[in-house]
Amino acid sequence: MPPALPQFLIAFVVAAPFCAFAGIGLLWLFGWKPRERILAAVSAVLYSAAGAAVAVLFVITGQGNSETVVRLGSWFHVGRYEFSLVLLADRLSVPMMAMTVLLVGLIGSFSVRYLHRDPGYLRFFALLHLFGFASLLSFAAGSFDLLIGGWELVGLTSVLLIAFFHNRRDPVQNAIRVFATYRVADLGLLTGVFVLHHAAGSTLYGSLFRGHWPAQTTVLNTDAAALAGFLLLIAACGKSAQIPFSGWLPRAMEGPTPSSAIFYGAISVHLGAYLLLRTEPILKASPGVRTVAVCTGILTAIHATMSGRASTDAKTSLAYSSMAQVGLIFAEAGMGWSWLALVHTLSHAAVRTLQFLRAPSMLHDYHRVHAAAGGQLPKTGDHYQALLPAGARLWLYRFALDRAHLDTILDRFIVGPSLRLARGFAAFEAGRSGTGWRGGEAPAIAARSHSRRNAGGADA
Amino acid sequence: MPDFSQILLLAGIVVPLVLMVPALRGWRPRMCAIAGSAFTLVCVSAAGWPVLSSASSPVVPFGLTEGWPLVSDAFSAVPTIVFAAMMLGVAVASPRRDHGPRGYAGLLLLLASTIAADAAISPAALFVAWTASAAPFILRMWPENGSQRTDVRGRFPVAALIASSILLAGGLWVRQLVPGTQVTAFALLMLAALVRKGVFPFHTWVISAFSDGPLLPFGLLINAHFGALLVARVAIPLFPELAREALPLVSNLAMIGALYTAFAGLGEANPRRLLALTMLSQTAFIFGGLESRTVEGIAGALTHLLVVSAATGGLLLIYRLLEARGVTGDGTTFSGLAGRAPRFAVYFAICGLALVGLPGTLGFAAEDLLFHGALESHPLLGMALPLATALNAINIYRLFSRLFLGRRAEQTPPFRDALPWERAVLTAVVLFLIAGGLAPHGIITLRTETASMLATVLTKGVSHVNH
Repeated sequence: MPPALPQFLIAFVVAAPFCAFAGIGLLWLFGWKPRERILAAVSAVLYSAAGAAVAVLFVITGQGNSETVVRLGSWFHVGRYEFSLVLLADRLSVPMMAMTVLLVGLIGSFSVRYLHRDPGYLRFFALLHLFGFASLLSFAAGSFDLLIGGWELVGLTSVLLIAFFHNRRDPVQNAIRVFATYRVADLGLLTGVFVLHHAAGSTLYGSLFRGHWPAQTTVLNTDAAALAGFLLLIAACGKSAQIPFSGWLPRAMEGPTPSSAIFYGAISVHLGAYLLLRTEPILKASPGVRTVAVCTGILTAIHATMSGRASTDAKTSLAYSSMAQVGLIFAEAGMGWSWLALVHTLSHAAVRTLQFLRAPSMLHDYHRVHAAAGGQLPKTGDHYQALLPAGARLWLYRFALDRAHLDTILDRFIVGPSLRLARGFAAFEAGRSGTGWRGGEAPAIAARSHSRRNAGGADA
Repeated sequence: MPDFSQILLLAGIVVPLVLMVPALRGWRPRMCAIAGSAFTLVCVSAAGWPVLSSASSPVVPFGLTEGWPLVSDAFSAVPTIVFAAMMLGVAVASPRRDHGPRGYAGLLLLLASTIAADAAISPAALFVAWTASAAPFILRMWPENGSQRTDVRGRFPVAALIASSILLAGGLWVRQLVPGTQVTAFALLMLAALVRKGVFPFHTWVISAFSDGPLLPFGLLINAHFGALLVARVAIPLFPELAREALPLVSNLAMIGALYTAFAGLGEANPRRLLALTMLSQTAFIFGGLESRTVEGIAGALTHLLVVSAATGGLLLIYRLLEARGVTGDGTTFSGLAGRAPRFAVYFAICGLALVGLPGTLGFAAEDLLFHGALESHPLLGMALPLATALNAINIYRLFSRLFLGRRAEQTPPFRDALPWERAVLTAVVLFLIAGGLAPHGIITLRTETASMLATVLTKGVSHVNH
C-alpha cells in the first residue's frame, strides 16, 4: 500500500461533496440549471466513490493503524498564530465518516424520486452536498479550529433546509428561531476553542491529547479542562437539542422529509455527541463537567420521552425520540463509556433515518400492522399510566404537551425581555436619529411557543 | 520629484476631478463616473503593484511636510484599490435615478478625495482630502431619498461630517499653534476618528444617514473607514505613548458600541436601519483589533476592514436595487422575493454571512485572527466580539428571511432578477469574499506589514519601527 494512499483517501472523501456543491453552484450562477438526472447521477457516483474510499479507510484503521493524519499545510498564518489544515482518521472519525457517506448517499438516492419535479430540487441537492462536506469536515477535522468550520456550515445548511418550503410562513419563522439558537449555543464552541488555544497554545488534537482514541489523556490542567469542557458541552447541547436548547428540534421538522432524516435522525443531531466523544479526555479531567453532561443527558431523555408521547404528528414524535436517544448517548459519553456511545450513535442514526423516511407512510404501515395483528394492537405505556392518580396523569400530560414549559420559560424570562429591551434601544436610536420608529410586529424569534407548538413536518 | 507610482496615484486622483466637470454639465454623467472609477482603479493598482508584489514593503511615516504628500505604500495600496473597485461597482450597478448629474459628480469627488486621504502622508493633504470627501454630502449632491415620512434634512450626518473636519484640523495643527498640547492634539484626533467612523456614542448620524439619505453614497463614505485610517496612520505613529494609554478606552467604547448596536438590531424591523446597525457593529470590531497590540489581532482588524467594505457594499447595493424596483417592504412582513430574484437572494446570503464570518469566506479568516488577538490581550472584552457577531448573524439572517422568504404579496409589482451588469458587479464581490476565504493567506500577508508596524509601535515605541 502506497504510504500516501490513506491521506489521499481522507482528503478525497472530504473534498468530493464540496466539489459537487461548488460545481452545481457555479453552473447555476452562470445560468445553467442541471437536469434532475444529471444531479442524481453525480450524487450516485460521488457517494459511491466516497463510500469505497471510506471502506478502505475502515480496513486500514481497523488493522492497527489506529490513526492517520493528513497535513495539508497552513491555511493562513500571522506572527506566531497559525491556522493549520489537518485531517484525522481514527477509530472515532472513520465510523462517523462512513455513516455520513452512507446515509447522505442513501438520502440523495431517496430524494431523486421523493423530490421529483419539486421546484427546489436543485437547491436541495446543492445544500445536501454542502451539508455532506460540512459533516465530513467536522468528523475528519484534526483540530478544533477546523471543526468550527464544518460545525458552522452544518448549522447553516440545516437552517436553509428548514426554510426549504419558504413560501409558507411557519418554516421561515421556525428557521429564524433555530438559527438564533444555533448561534447562541455556538458561542460555547468559539469561546471553548479560544480557552484551549490560550491554555495549550494550539487546538490541534495531536497537541491537546496524548495517546489514541478512546484511551487518550489531555495536557490541560484541571481548571482549563473544566472551563473548556463546560463551554464545549454548551455547544454540544445546542447542536444536539439537549436541555435547555431542546426547543428548536420540533421546529426543525418543517423541512422536507429527507432533510429531516439526514439532519435530525442521522448526522447533525449527533454532532454534539461526537464533540463530547472527541473531547472525552477533557471530560475525564473534569468530574464536574462529566456530571453535568450525564445529568443533562438523562433529564433530556426523560423530557423528550414524555413530550414525544404527547406529540400529535409523526415527525415531531420522531424528533423527540431522537432527542431522547441522544440524551442517553450524552450520558454514556459522560460516564466514559465511549465505545457504547459510538455504537449507540451509529445504530441510532441508521434506525432513525429509516423511521423518518417511512414517516410519510406511517399511517399506511400502521394499518397494515394493525390488520395483521387482527385489529388489536396494545397501546404502549398504558399500564404504567394507569398506576398514577388521575390528577398526576393530567398534570404530567399538560407538562408533556407544553414540552416541560421550556419554551414558555425561555420566551417569558429570556427571549421576551431581551427583545423588549432591544426594541426599546431600536426605538431610542430611531428617535435620536430623527427618522421615526414604526413598531411593527414582534420579530419572528419572539413568536409565542403556543402558536408554534404543533409546527409539524410538511410531509408527515 | 515624484516617482512613477506617485504620478500614477496623482493621475488617479486628478482625472475623476476633471471628469466632474462634464458630469455636472449633464454630459453622460454615468459614463463619466464609470470611466473615472475605472481609470482610478487601473492607476492605483499600477501604483500599488510594487508594494503588492514585494515580500516586504515599508509603511511611509506620516507627518512629512516636505516632499510629495501622496504615496502608495504597504498601508494605502490595498484600501485604495478596494475603494476604487467599490466605486466602480456602484457607478456601474446602482440605479441611475439615485444620482443624476450632481450625484455622479459627487461620486467622483468622493472617489478622488478618499484615494487622496488614504495615500496622504502630510497633514495638509489629509485635511483637504478628508474635508473634500464630506463635501458632496454637505452640498447635498444627491436627490432626496423621498420615501420616508420624516424629513431629517440631513442634520445629523452633515453636522457630524463638519465636526469631524474641525476636530481633525485641531488635532493636526494645535501642536504647532500652542506648545505643550500633545494630549489635546491626540484627543482631538481620536474624537475626529470616532465621530467620522460612527463609534458609540457618536453613531447616531450613521443611522440617520442610512435611514433617510442616499444609501449607496453614504455606504461608500462609511466604507472609506476614515476613522480607522486616522487612528492607524496618524494617531498611533505620532503619539505612541498616548495611544498605548488611550486605545484601551477607545477599544472599550468600540466593543460596547458593537454589542449595543448588534443588540438594538434585534429589535429593529426597518431594513435600512438594520443594515446601519449591523454595519456599525461590525466596523467597531476594527478598533478592538487595533488595540489588541498583537500582530494577528491587528492583521485581522485590517483584513476585517476589507471584508466589511466588500460585504456591506454588496448588501447595500442589493437592497437599493430591490428598493428601486419597488418590491421591498418596511421589514415587518415577509416579502418573498426569492422566487422571482433567486440570484439576489444568493448574493445577499453570501455577502451577509461573509460579514459575520461564514467559514469559507474571507470573513472567517479575518474574525478568527481578530478574536484570537483580542482574547489574548483582553479576554473579557474579547468575549464581546463573538457575542456581537452572533447577534449580527441573527440580524442578517432575519433580514434575509424578511426580504426573500415567505409568500410574496399579491400587490408586489413584477420585477426582474439581477440584470447582467448588476450580476457582474455582485459576482465580483462574492468571488472576492469566497476566493479570499479559500485562500486568505495572500490578502492577510498584504496587511501583515502594517500590522507588524502598528504592533511594534504600540508595544515598543516608534524608534523600533524600521521604515
